[in-house]
Amino acid sequence: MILKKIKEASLIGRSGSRFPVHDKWESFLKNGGRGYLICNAAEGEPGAFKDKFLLKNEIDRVFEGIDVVNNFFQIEDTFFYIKKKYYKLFKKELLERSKKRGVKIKLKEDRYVAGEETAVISSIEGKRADPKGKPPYPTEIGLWGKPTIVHNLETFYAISEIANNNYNGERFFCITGDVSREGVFKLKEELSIKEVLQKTGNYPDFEFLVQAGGGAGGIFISEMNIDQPCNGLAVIEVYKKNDFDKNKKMIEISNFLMYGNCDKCTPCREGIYRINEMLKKGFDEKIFNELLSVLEKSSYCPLGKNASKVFKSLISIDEN
Amino acid sequence: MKIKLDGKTIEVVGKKTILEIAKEHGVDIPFLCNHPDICVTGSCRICVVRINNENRCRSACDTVAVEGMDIITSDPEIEKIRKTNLELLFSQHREECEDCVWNPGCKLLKLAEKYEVKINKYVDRKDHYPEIGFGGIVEFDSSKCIDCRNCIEICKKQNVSFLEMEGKGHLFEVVPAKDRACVYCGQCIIHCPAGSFESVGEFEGVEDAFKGSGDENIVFQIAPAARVSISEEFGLDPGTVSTGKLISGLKKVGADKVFDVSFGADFTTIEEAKEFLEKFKDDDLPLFTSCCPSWVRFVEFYYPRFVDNLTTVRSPHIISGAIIKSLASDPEKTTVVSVMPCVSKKYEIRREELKVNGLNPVDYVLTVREVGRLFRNKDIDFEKLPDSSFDDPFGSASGDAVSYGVAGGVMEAALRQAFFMKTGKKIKEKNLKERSDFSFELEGKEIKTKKISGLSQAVKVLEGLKKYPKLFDYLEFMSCPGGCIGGGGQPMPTNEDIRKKRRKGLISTGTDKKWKSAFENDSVSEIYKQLKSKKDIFHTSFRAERNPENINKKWPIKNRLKSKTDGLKI
Repeated sequence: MILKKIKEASLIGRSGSRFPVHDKWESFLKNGGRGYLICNAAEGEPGAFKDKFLLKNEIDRVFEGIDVVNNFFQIEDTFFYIKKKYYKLFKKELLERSKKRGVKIKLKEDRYVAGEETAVISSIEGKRADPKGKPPYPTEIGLWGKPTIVHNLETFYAISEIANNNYNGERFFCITGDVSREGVFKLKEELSIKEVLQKTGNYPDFEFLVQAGGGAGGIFISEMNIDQPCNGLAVIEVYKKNDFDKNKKMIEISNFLMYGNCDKCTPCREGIYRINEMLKKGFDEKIFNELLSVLEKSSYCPLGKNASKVFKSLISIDEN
Repeated sequence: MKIKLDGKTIEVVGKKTILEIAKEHGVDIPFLCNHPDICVTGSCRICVVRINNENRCRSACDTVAVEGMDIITSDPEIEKIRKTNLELLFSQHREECEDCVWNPGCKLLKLAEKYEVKINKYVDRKDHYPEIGFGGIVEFDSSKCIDCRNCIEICKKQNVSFLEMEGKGHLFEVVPAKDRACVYCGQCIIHCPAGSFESVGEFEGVEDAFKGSGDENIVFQIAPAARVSISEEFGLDPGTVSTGKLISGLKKVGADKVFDVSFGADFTTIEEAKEFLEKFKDDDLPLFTSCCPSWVRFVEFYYPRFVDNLTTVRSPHIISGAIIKSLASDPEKTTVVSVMPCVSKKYEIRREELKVNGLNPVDYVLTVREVGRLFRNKDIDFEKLPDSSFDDPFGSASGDAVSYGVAGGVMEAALRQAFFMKTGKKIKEKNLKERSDFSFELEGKEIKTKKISGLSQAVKVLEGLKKYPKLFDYLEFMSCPGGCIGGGGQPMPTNEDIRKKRRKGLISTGTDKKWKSAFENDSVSEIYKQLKSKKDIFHTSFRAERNPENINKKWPIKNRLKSKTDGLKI
């Protein structure tokens, strides 16, 4: 049975939050095993383009994965939540496959936070794509109050592999930045960043640093620490150390988050705004740390918490 | 279920949030945006607590307790988080403390004191933000807004959805919708924790009534719901009846006469009962009450098809105002001021069709909050005021008339009256007060009635009536939750707990009246005899407005940029 196979494969969801797929499924079953399924192709993270790659090259595999879940559970409706740009690019292929299965397509709001799973649910319900608090988790109370499984598009690809007995623990890595071979590469999940760069022919011959996990949510790691796996989203961006402007990067990320957040909670709305302001007008380390602390400990959704991790890694990049 | 709250094991029954549990157990968790009337927005992040020793904190307002939960409500890190988040909230809130609906009793300031917050740690982000006027009735000072979105939630709950979010640059902000109309219920005012909303004239206009040439006869009239809630303006317990002190206070600030709006209510009751019986005869029911001006505006704009169902009988204070002026020796020199629990009444008195012989029946409306402010401005020691009685000749109203202030009161009064007029008997009271859908028999026909308070409920019933026009025969609609006792002009805070206490207090003032119902009130017939042009005084008209562009034409939305001197920094 597919759930057992997924559990044996220890499949981790591909959204970057590292949630085991079988945990979601078991929770869904525990809550009645009946409800909705959402394929999340929001891909709002800067530097991530694996969903686009899969839509272009492996769309049938993705839909096979959707079929597997539909066959296993009593799914009332399946939604394909997709960023507008991708929809335009792959409209024909998508409609052809979704119509056949009765899969409904919902276009994503143009905001970073609109890709977060509870925001996705709000959006499909016809509301603003704002995140909701967890718990309850979507598998408990999800779309229109019913248990709902939300998986990243790539997770469906992996599910299809598992169903066909050809999964071998590989995921898709996006390599970008100052590299010679930018692109999407399918490699073993547990590989270190260093190995990924080496195997893809992207290991720089200059002093560098990387951002691993995505352009907004990924942490910055110095060259000497890349002997660790890529946590979160499998996105590795390489920067030339000599050209790297830490302050500029922080402004860029805080700008992105200011525009991409939902403005609901105080730490995220005001905290990131003040960080952005102090980066431009004059840095105050004490206040900066206070702001990171409230972002990390008290933001409403993972966006704020993650922002703090990113800023922290960036500010201390020279020390490690 | 057992949980641990600050190390103490406690028993919890049912599904409750940590904030609710803490409140029950006397544990103080500070919060700003939470209000039991609306679904939790969880935005302020002040009520953070630590659960099961987790690294990250969670908000107490939207976290439901589960078996075995170990909750810590305060530790150095939690306190630090609260302080920083407060500083961030102050960084977007322009302080204008003198002229604020929360003054005295501002929760933001109390928390600032408790957490030794530097309120000017950051430059105010919203310093240049405008004040937006809604039809000259309600004002939204966007420079004070802390983006908790309570106003949007309550406006949505009221089914008005006039307030909405708009993306501006990197921010989403509260704005009035272009294609909707505000009904001036004022619920945004009492649900905003930052005092961003107020009614027009809330501060600068409280003494306007006294600014005439000096030879006017200044007459105050007090709405039922005001005589109880005024107590809260002076720190007395919700539900305390202060009719006598309110009368004395008004006399002290310059009122020549103080009358009871309830005497007008007896006329509304009688006229409305007549209209009900006419419509009953013509098989032209259902009839809707119309003494709530927000409700009237709601029907005119959002459900115009039901305009003809509104009773044309004027609201009590409009009738009593007109009677006062009609019987005054010099109507032109008579200034009528109504003390109301309501913001919308400020709008009502400006409706042209209510004029009698070219005069407005009521010249000014002061909300309960504004009377509180007026008394404080004049250094009146409210608790020490003697108890006075209403002036004659309009001092005698029935008990039913006083009940106009609580949800259901208007229709109950009219039903008793109508039943008596038709049958000469008293209606069987069983279930009349308790049930929101009360039925009785009249000439062999079943009359189905319904009481609705809060526009959220109103829409459900109206949608039902669209499908089944004979679903009900007579309906009372009040825009605010709980009726006028929960009105937008009431003291702050206002919540379900407080509304219940006000209701109890108000009902108690009606039971000691000489007459229970309007038909028992002798003085009413006396006044009828003295009035010449009754039609003008008792009835009005409404107009359906189907074109959204016209909605705000007469009552426009205006932005005003504030000058630096407007703000009073503390």
